[in-house]
Amino acid sequence: MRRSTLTSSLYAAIGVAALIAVWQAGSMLIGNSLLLPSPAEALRALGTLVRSRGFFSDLWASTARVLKGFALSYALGLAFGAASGMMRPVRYMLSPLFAALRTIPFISLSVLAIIWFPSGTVPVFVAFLMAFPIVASDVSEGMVSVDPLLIELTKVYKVPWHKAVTGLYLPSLAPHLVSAFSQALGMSWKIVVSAEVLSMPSRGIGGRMDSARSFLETPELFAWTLLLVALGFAADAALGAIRARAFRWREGRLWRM
Amino acid sequence: MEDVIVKGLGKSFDGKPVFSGIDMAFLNGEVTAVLGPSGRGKTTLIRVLCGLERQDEGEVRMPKGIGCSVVFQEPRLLPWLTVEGNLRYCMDGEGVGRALKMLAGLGLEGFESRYPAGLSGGEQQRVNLVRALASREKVLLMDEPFSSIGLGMKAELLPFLRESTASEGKTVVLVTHSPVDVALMADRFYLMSDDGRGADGPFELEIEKGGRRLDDDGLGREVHKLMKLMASLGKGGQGPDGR
Repeated sequence: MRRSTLTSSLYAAIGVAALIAVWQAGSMLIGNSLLLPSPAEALRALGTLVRSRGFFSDLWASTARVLKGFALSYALGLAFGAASGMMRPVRYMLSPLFAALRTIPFISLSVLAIIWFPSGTVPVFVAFLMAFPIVASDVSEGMVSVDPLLIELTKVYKVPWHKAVTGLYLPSLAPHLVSAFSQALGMSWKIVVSAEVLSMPSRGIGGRMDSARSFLETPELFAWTLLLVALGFAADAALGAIRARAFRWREGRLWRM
Repeated sequence: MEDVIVKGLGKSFDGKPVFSGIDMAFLNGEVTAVLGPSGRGKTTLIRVLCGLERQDEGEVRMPKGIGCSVVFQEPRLLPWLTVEGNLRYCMDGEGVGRALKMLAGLGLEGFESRYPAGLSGGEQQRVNLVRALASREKVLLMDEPFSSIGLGMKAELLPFLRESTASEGKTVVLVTHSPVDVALMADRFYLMSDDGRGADGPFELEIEKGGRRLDDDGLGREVHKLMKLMASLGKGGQGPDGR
């Protein structure tokens, strides 16, 4: 177990180093930081960015939108996913909606939302609509995959429903809940920042990126992107730690086979 | 009447009958075996008795207010719960106390905090057994419970199970294809007929109540007789412990 995590993080580090090397080589080849700043320039821009006025309030404004959109999509996705996993008619009724939401470009939703909502609400609404079907279909799949033999066991031994929820259904769903969590959170970040570029709320990362674009501050654009990537990495790492703890029971398999 | 009575029971899947016209009586406080080769609907019979499946014809007369516990053919343990957690899932605190005491008697001492994935098949099956034995339900249904348990373990375990269920006054239904299981544990047995129509029996075992030891001649003769009986069913060419 330990050995394999060690080698996997070693390979990940090699991958990151390779990416940075390609980036560095590209920037040297182009030789114009307006088109492609070097990694060092991007890092320097990030340093300036963090110290700039309003950085934290912009970061927080976007984070708050992400959290709202994500929380809404996760809560409703959980409810609808559980219902569609348990009841076939609900599953059939929801499937066209989900299929539609998966193909609709988020731009068309954003443009509509700009007409309907104040600019600060637009990113929340669009992020919710894009992340909701991911959570719902993941949870619904999880409900269907609960071991029927264990459901029978639960019936025969007349296990009370609250014990069945915490003892059987939640642990069966756990892998799906975790994957829905990371996917919906990542999706929310992408959508919130993109929708902010369109709807232009007074505070937020999207607005800052748009003004960096219009002033041709390419290093700053890269700095914001780096920041978002770092946030994504941090969230994944935190989730990975939770996952390792939650699925400890699987380790027994290693010394049986 | 405390006995569980089955009258004219029939069950089919997609129009194909599994069995029909089954009449059986499972007497209060006794171990009744249902013997037959695989594919004669023995598991379906258990599923009908515990209410997981509804019969198409006939009836099951279960005394009022009496429930069943089941030893399933597979261990059916929740993989994310420890042995103790699995016991807690299916019973209240008092039952768990009884179950934990039983673990030692079944060679599972100190296994409380281990996960199912770390147990062998036979060990998992014994947890399945403890779970059903510790339950307060009056009727104990066992569906091929010993197929992953070796002969040596069986020779100790089955007479022990026979005594402990008798002392608690449980009504036991043991469904099996193994004559050894029947000879070691049952008081009476039925034979699932060849064509799925009805069952023969009940037959009494001709072993004195105490003599359930593997080296006992009476037991050997009984196993031999049961094997011949099963061979006469045509397809029943499996050995005493064949699987």
